[in-house]
Amino acid sequence: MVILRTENLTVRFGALTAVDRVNLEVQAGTVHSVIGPNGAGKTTLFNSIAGEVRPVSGRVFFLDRDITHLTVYQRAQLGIGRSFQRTNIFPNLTVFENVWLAAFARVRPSSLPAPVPRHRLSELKDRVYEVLGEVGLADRAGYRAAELSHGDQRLLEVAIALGLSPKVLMLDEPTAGLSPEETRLMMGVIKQLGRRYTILLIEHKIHLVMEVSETISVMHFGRIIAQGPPEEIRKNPAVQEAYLGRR
Amino acid sequence: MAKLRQRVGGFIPWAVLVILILVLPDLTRPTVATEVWVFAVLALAFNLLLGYTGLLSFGQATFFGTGAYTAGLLLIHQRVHPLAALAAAALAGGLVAAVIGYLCIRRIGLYFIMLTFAFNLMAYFIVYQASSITGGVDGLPGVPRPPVNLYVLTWDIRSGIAYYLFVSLIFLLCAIALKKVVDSPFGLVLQAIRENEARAAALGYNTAAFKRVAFIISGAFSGLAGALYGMLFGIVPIDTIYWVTSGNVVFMTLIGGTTSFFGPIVGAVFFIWLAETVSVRWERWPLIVGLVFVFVIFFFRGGFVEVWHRAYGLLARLTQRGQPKYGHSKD
Amino acid sequence: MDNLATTVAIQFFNGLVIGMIYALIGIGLTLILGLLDIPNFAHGALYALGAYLLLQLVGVTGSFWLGMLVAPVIVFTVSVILERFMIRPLYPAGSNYVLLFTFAVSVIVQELIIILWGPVGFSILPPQALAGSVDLGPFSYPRYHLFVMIASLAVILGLWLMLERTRYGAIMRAGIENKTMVSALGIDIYRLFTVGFGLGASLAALAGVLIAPIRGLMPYMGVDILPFAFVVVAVGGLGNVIGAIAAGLIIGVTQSLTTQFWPQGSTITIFGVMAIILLTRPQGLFGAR
Repeated sequence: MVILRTENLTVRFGALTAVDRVNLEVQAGTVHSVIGPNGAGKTTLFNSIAGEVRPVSGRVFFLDRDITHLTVYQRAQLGIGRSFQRTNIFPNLTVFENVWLAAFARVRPSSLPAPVPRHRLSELKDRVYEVLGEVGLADRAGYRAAELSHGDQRLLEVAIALGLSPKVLMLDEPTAGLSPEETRLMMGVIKQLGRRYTILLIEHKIHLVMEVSETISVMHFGRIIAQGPPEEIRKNPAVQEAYLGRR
Repeated sequence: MAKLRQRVGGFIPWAVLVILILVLPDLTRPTVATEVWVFAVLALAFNLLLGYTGLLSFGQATFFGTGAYTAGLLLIHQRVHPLAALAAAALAGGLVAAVIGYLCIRRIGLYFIMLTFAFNLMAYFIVYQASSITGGVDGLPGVPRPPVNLYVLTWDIRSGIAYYLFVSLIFLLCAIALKKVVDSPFGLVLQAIRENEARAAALGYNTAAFKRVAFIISGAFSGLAGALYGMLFGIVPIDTIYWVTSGNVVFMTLIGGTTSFFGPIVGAVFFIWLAETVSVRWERWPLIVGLVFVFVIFFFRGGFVEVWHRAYGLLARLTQRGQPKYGHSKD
Repeated sequence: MDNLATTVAIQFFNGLVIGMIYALIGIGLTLILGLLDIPNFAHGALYALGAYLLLQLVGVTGSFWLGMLVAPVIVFTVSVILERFMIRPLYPAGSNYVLLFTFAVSVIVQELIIILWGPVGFSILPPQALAGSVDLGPFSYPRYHLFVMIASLAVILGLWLMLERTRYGAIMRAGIENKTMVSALGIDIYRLFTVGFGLGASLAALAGVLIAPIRGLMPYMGVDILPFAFVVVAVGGLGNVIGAIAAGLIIGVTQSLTTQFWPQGSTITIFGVMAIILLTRPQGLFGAR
């Protein structure tokens, strides 16, 4: 089942075409990676799917529903959970509160200050600890988010998106700025998550995604130049050309 | 054991507050003491926007003044029950905040500040021009203080000390209500918006709607404070809606400390003390406010509360009592 | 010329005079807004400071001309120092703190003015050479008022030339449009802020100097003028110098004419227009999207 789909999606910034007639299909229950050299348009593609950026033409479908004109928060309410390439957490709130906000949004994002029933609160608390456990941050739940190491903040970044119990988990370069050790840890977490969530992943280090992905889409200059299972991509000459001299 | 200490710890500021309420009339005139709690409500309402939501609104006087004039006019012309006047003032403040909030919230940063400022100016000039109703630049005199009739008892609040008790009671109720708001999930979402609005939206929160609701709550409590002010001196001066008052609220809230719930109360105490006590010795007391404010901006952004925390922490380290808690204080 | 037409003409001229003053203040404020991204709450106080320094200098030296030239220079120097050593360190803390600092400055300067010169207002006479009126045909008009118009025009023209025709002016305009680009070109953006702030402040001071013989000096003249400065900037477009000039003149003339014929509505109209523009056309009447 196709959970997320873009149709001829095009995003332009002035004279620059960042995303060029992209047709992307993400199958439910899979880990789908979008790779490409820096500047290929991957993050812009993400941003247009999440709603942060308006496309100049083309459409985005989520569960067969046209979401092209929905706002960021409306798309999040439908079940699109994304993490950011540059760590985008709530620095002065605790780790627990960071994830709690995501979990709570799932339950009642209405803007009225009505009280929340006790059983709901304890459900949320359980969910938060479950998510923190999945990324390995449960023991640091009481820390202020700003006090975490960069590696832990990247994990928190993912945890927040997870807290939404999203139908699609969109991860934008989760390993950005991580040491080799931390990268291995992160990819391990993602592999585990891949068993339970549909994941759309951006990475520019091609070797990282080979193991975890079922499908890989390769972007270059805003276009998708290759798409398929990892073995096919590995052998694809166009992909090799795009990456030669770029690393 | 830690839980108990947290519980007791959370109780301490309230205890201090109650003690202060009981002691204040002995330290200064009843009207000054009453004014402290009136502005404390206003500052708490303002901090809901600034400290918790991250919105620097430069027009708090719009709601304060609206509430003051609404209550004043109702009391003068309709002789309503004081509690009804308070309710009407809160309603009026909330309504005006709803309208202005709806118009201003969609703008960001700079434009938001200038818009709240612009609406404050407009409100001032409307009141100025409508002098047949509002008394214009001379203010609205003759605001009565009818007794508080509660069926079983009637409370005459005309004496200075009786009104002081009335206001401090209302203040406590307002403070408890606002504390409940900021401690609720709604309050946490507001803080998330302050910390990182884009991320809050990416989680599914309609951030504009949350901000509008915060604005309305703030406006309502500010209006209520305005009503209390009007009844305090028996006159509603046009200052209540003048933009300088908005600035004063900003001053006292920041000086007290925006990162703590109780900070603005400290700021209100400090400001009113300066305004009413120091002012008789030295008319140029605003200079002190300005200088303290600059000091706070540069060295103690968390205001007096931060000074307190740091001093306490230093003391604790010197006597080796234990680890003080840093970061955003939840007390 | 019949009475109504004369009245209108005189009020129109008065409107131009005050409009020029508004334009000067507005240009200064919009420059600071465009460069530093903050509404300078101290702008009114700097305007008042200019007027009071003029008073002091005239008292000390007896020369209006000297006072007129030196007062803005003093304010320029003081504000450059202020920006460099007190505002610049606040930039990393966020524009809210910079804004709040200017607000504190406005209060401090205001109180200092009262401390130094007292709580009572002053009047100051224009210099001998500019006293009296000029016969314009249908009516006669104060010479000093005409001087203010011409002097303001000259300054505004000079400023416009600087911004449009000199390299530094181009840098300044670029700094308003796109700060990251300017610093990427290797230009010291912080020094640009300092100069911009000083320039804006001295324009406010000049406005205070010029208006002093017409309106007199009052301790709270800064507080009173600030709202109008904000209106000018909002209507002209935040950061738009040409807009500030046009808006200043329009608002000055409007205010002058409505005060004569519809006093109750004048100020509300002005602030209402400000709110409407900020809401519907934030680039101002003259800005391009």
